[in-house]
Amino acid sequence: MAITLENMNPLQVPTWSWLRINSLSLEFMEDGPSAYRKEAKITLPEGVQIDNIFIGAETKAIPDSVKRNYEFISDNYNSALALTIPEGALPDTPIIIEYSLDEENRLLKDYIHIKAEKDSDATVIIKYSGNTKEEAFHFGFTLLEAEKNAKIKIIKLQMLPETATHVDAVAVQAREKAFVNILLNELGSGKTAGACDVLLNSEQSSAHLDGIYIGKNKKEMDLNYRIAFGAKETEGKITVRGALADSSKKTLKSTLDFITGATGAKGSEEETVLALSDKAVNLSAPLLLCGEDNVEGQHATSTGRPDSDKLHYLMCRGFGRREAEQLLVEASFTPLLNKIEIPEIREEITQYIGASIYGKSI
Amino acid sequence: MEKKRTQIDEFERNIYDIYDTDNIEYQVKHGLTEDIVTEISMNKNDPLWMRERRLESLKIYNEKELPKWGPSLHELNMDEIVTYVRPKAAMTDDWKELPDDIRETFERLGIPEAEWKALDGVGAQYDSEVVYHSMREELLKQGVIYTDMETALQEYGDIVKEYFMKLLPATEHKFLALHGAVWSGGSFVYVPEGVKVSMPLQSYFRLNAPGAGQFEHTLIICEKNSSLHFIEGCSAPKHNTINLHAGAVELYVKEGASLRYSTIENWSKNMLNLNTKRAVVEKNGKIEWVSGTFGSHITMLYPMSILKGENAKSEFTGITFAGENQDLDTGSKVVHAAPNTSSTVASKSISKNGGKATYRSSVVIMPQAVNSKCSVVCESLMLDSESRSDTVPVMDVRNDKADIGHEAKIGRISEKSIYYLMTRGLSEEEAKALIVRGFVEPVTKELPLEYAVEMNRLIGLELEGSIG
Repeated sequence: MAITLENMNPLQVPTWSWLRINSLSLEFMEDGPSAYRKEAKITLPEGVQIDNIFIGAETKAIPDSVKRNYEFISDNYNSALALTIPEGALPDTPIIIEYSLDEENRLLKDYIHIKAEKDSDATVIIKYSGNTKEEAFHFGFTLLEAEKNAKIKIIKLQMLPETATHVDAVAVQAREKAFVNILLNELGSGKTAGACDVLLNSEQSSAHLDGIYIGKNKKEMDLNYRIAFGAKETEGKITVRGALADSSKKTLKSTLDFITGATGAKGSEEETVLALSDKAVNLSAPLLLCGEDNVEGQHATSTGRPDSDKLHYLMCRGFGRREAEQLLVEASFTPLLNKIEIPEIREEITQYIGASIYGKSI
Repeated sequence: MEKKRTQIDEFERNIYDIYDTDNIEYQVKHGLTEDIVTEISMNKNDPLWMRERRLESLKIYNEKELPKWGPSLHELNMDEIVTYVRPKAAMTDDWKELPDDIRETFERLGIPEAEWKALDGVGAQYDSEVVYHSMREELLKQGVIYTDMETALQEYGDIVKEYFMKLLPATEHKFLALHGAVWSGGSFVYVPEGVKVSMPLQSYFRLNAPGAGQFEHTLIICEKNSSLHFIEGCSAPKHNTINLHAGAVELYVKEGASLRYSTIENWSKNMLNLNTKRAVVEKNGKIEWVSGTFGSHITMLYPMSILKGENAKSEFTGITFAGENQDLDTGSKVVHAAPNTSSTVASKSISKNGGKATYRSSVVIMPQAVNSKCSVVCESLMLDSESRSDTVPVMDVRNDKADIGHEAKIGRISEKSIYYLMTRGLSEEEAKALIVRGFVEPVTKELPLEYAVEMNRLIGLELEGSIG
């Protein structure tokens, strides 16, 4: 049996209904024998603690854009983790959490609570992959609380099979002078509804919200990213790079929200889309909302084919057209991939992108 | 030390706010019923097809919901609106024949003077009816038709029937349906093939009666390789009741033709301005929208260009100034529906004293619109933290051979710019004035001189204090 999830990924300020961008409805599998029963594979550096418990948040602390996600997961999770990075902890290797779907475990609903205490500095990698020919479903929610001066990077890798529906949300609350870098790699699945909402609610907190997506075959993606500037001198940047092939469809709603009182806040957002097919559909809604005059906000969006001059240059140097195009696609992701310190993961993503769009990586 | 913010004063509204009393000859009852719609139609001696369309539109109006986005329209109560008000004036082509108070109103607004100096033709509407219409003799000889919609309906009924509300169907939204039911007045322009109208035509819409609605319909047809600049101005005195404006503008730009449509809107702050404007542009044709939105309590206005023919072009240049008790939701819509089409959007907004300015747009690139280009740039200037400025653009791209760029900026006047100009010898006040004038200059430079001056006057650039 399927259930319908209504009003997911709401646009912060609704617009014309004929654009079909205000919210999303999607079908999701109800609990049954295929529910995920495995343990997540966890790589934990010394000094970091993880428990199999659900640590919720006050509903009012969850932003509207992901409230539906939170309500659903808190009632329905089948995996819950609570990760604590203690005060001053500086683990020299990343914390890695891996979920892998298979024929017997096709319905994963995971909730991860991350508490990064004062002055901690860590990277958390969360990976969703799987190999199943049957319909699969993933519903995830990650809540990050970054305390004063914490410096946290979360890298999410979504490499689910095309048979999967992937619904994921990240909510971030950043305290004074905390810096949060969220890198969301939406690479797999047949249907994706991804959201990330960062609230910079203490002075001088800052965030980079980076997204990579690729569309292939008939994949449908609806991504809803927001940084809210809720305190003085906060800074945030949304950077999204994507490529759309075949008959894929992508909707990106990205919002910079300057709340009254956020004097001296600075924000920017940028999306670059490489269109690789005349059948792909690309919707973008970069919102800039402002209730405070002493701020600087800007956004830029561009959509087009890979640059013809660059293609020509590469082809003059012996590459075939397809190879040259593939190099440009991979190069467009490089600035974001370079934020991943672990070469093996960078390489894995590059290989995955090459294989997804071109059947192989160069 | 507390820093002062740049102040941009609102303009003096004196000349716009003078209210003429006792010049209503006839009006329908308050509200919106089948009887009222029929009464308006009978009064205007509509042909049967128009009467049927009005009643069909009313039916659609009653079935449609209010929009679920944009500013709240809870203050609108159609039971309190008078949808048709006929002034005590018959239409004329001689200003002297108008009643004194109506003529003086238009003189204060500078319309006759503008006609003598810089226009090829003028139409002036007062409440629900056009009271003045004239055009230079040379244009008449070239076959240009410029008249009020009622005359057009009687004398050029076939043309009107072919185009009227075909681009703006009543089924599209509630206020188009309302317009279809109770429209009155407006202008009809027909520019024959190859005719270039050298000076602009202007229609001015004045809504005088309290609690009234104005629903003028503008229909312009530019035949192949013709060109025209049409200017639309509007104002109203301030009343303590809600007034409603739900006009409609349909523009047909045929192959190789070009049309510039300029609007300076200065409704009073009790006005709900829910206007709909749309152009369809054929092969090698060009539409230019120049739009200044200053008045009204609430505005929802998004001129739309449908680029239907190959190489068709659209340019939109707009400025919105939202002050106290104003929620101005403006922007543009473009549909690229043919190869090699191009569009540009340059939008500016200023908000102050609790005003809310929203830029809302959509750009749709259809699968067949290969090699199309679109560039959108919007900038918003916030003058205090009681105000709001939101940017809500959507781009829907459905082919891989299009270049789409969108940029937006928001914030205060840059301190660096002030400093730079001051190091070049300008005083702080001069520097600030120059920067704000530079901010609105992309719009003013697109207007004829007289109108650029009027717009600068509307903004009333009086600056004081410092930045930051």
